Amino acid sequence: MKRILFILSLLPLSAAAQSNGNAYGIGNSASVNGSVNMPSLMRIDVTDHHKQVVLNRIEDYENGKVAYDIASLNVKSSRPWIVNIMTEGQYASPSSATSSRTMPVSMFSFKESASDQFVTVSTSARPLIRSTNSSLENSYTLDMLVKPPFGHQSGVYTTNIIFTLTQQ
Amino acid sequence: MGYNIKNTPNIGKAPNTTMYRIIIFLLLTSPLQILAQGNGNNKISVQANRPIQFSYNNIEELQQQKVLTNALELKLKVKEYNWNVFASLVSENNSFYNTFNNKLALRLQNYDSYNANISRTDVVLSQAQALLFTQPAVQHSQHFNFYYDVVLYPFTNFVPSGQFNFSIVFTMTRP
Repeated sequence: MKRILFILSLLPLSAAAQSNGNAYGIGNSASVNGSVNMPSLMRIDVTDHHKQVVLNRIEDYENGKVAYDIASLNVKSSRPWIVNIMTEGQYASPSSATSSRTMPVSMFSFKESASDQFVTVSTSARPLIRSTNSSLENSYTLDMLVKPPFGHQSGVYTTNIIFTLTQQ
Repeated sequence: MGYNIKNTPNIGKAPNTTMYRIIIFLLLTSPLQILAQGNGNNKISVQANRPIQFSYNNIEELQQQKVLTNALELKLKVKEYNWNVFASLVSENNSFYNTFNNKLALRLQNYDSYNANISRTDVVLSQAQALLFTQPAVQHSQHFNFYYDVVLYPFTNFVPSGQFNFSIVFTMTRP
């Protein structure tokens, strides 16, 4: 009986010797552990095509005037996303002292070229484009509608447009 | 009263009978456990020469291939028989497979077997076993080493965020 117990006590050691000769195991199979740390990643690049919109007819004021392909956007994101649009200030900047200082930025609207719906800009962020596919990278061109209100001085007006990329 | 007092001394022997049965059972099954680990002449082991860890700092990195050069050293001891060596991915996180099946691969860097039937092309990993190489039988017991890069291919679509842990499992089986 004691002999049998002695043999039994050796057997687990023998089995362990087969499997623990290496930290990763020796035998008919072996394995290594690994990991992937995947954060949420996104990036937006805007290219200004430096187009100037000139309104020189009364119809331009009544209907507005569209400048096509005024800028392009390149969006890279690892997650579904939204591009929002906004301006820094409530009024567009006049280029001269005689121009109106209260020309509202709402005279500017933007849309992605393939879309029909212009989004009027304001000081609060508004959705402009949402991801419609799962591609990591997408590119767009933007059109701009300029429709200034009546009652302001003529002149050259500029404003900074801010595009922000957020996760859906 | 129905009791046989003469039989009471036998009660003490019952545990011995049970113990003998357990001992015989263990004696019969222990060799099977050892065989499951592989026999002495044919073994496989793997060592990571660097951490198998991938991380990303920006989205451009996701669009590029990541390579852990010479990350794995696969050691094979063979004598009898031909052996197929396979690799596969295992993870406790089921979503891991949706994202990383066919994205991770092993790329052969070097090896010292003189007769292995081995391909230089990347072996793409998934849950299913992928054949790395076939090692034919040799005259005397020999050790062979195989060095692999671990490759993570570029992504073109959305990727769930988080920490994904996995194992690369290597198995040797007879054809």
